[in-house]
Amino acid sequence: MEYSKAPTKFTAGLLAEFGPKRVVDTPIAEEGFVGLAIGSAMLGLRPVVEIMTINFSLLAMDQLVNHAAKIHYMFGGQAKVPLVLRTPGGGGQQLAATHSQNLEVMYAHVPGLKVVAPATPADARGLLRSAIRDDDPVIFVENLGLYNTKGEVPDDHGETTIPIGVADIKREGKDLSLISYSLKTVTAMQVAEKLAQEGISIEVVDLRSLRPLDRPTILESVRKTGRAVIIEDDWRSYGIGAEVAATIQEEAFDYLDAPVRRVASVEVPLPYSKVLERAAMPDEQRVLDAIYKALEGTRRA
Amino acid sequence: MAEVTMPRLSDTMQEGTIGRWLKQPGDHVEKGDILLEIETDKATMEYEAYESGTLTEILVQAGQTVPIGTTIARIGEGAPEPVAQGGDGASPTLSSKEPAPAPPPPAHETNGKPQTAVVGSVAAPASSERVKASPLARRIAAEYGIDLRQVQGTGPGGRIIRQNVEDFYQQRGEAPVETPATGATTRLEEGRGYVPYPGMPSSSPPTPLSRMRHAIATRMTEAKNGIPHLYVTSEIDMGEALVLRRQLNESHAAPVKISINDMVVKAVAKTLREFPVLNSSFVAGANGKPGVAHYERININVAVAVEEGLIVPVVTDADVKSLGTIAVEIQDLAARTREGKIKQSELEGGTLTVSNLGMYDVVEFAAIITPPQSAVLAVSSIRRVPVVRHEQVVIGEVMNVTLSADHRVTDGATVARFLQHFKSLMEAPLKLLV
Repeated sequence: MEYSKAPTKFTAGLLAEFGPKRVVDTPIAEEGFVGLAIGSAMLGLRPVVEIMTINFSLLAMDQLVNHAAKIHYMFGGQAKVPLVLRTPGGGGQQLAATHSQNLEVMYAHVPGLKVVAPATPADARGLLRSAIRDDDPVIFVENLGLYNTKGEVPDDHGETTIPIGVADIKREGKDLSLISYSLKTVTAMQVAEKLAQEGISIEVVDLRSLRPLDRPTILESVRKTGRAVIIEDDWRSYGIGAEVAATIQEEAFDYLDAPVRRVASVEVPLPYSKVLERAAMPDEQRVLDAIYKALEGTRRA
Repeated sequence: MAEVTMPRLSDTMQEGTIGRWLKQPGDHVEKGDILLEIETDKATMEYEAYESGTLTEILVQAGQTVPIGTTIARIGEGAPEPVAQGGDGASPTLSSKEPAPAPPPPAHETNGKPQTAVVGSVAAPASSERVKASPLARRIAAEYGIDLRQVQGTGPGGRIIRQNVEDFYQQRGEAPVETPATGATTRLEEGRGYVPYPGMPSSSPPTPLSRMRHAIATRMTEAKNGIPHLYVTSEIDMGEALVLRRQLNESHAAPVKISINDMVVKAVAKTLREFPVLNSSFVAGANGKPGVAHYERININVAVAVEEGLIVPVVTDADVKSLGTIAVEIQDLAARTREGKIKQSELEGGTLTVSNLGMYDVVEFAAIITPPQSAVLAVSSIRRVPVVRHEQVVIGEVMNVTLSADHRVTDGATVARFLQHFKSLMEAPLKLLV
């Protein structure tokens, strides 16, 4: 953090403001410091842990999955774990295969954890507040590609929160639901804007929370539009999109006018080469292709 | 093995009809060879092979209509496979250009037998082929009481989607949903579920619409239902215009003869430059909020009557082209339109349409706007009638024009001023030459 000059500068100024008792640098020993945070959370603190990227959180997987997620349940509710783990994922920075992953689905898979992945500064602030105030462990997924995002945040003296588990319709539309989270919501908004020029009306559903997933908002949108495309930066198989698509077909089957489509990363360890990296990640063109495919046969297409 | 699919040849194209195959099964095909001709709702186009090889099979025969994306042929590397006669995978979506009661019969026992089904029964006809439809289309069809087998699918592989069901429902219009007297059989074999209007004398079974008729029916219904039309008519003294035309043509000022319609096109284009509000489209903008999109270029559609309907090729940038250039282009476009050789790109991009019935001794008429345009000018005949000039009643040459405009975009007063300007150009037509 302050001592080591954390590369993301996310914590800049915290030490000066809150002092060395509340702002603590640690050795690079993920299982150790996450375990420490879990213990302090059980004893009444509300620790916020930063792991430089989500890739390194794998070293703390046992602490998160076997302890943070389960303690409240295995000890009959005697303890809670109000822990927040902030960590960015995402590729596109030419950081190669081991430093460019989108592993949020691994945590979203685990009951007992909550996982949020905001796309805008306002959502990030509101969800971070909710995460800190939440009594369950929350994995707060950021994306390296979002760190320079500028956007409006409400001037509210620290009171506005965004509830965990509530998706947001970032743009209303009637022809197709474009479902996304984190960095891909930015792509979704760009694509929607572009297609509006062609008279195609896209509704952008920003999931914001991956667990719990706001199924009612997704379903309401798809029941309105009859079509859905999901964009995700993670790998396609067993991904967030797979869960959303399954939800749609289970609950909104009779409202579907076309198969639900997913646009995700190509299933390879992400290459270092800029050209190959770009080719492997879901870009605007692939989203457009999927949307045209989903609209095939309509006058909109 | 490469599949040849029905291509999308224009933005509005949903299905295409095979005009004729220029290659036959067994023929060697080079990439770039013309494989076939495809008729869309607007034009006939040649379609090239994208792969080299042997044309192994033709799945959709000449005259048949299929949705875009349907496999129509296969190109392989080796010797041709036995030719499939219709009943292959693509057939459930086929409909013939000629009255086509049902998909082409599979080559077995039902062949030749009349296909009948009891009215109102959901039981399948002789063909047991599964109808491909989206869940949403099925649900809406059930609500409307529509038999999906009568609906043409435009989705991938001919899948029926919501829009197809809704279009079908709208086209069925006022025809009763209820079935006629019990015991009657459907007339599927003659008229695709035809139910006569009650109280009307007996009629012939309906003739299926041609591709063009269908396109006109759909577009015009959409326009007349969706666009609030306003109409303003103006009377134009054509004396000067006729004199100018004669002078231009007698002096062979242009490579072809200038017509009154050429002058109308030029004048309307120049007028649009002054009234950009009508060179526009009413659109659903960002967030679904409506707006008006204005066009910089002024491209005039000129309606050309052809045997089965009409086609409207475009004169681009008519405001800056000379009268002579416009005359040459319109003559060329009209000739190629009548020969069916017009290109799709020459039918697109128009921002206002001129429809001229002058040759039919018409006093006055109003035209329907072609979406997404905002206006259409209907031009009637020039008639010799008494007019007042210098307080004297003399014989004058008068032509009526009616502008139909989208009332969401503009109002009557603006349209009236538009016509005033148009009239001032036509009555002092030397202005068209500068």
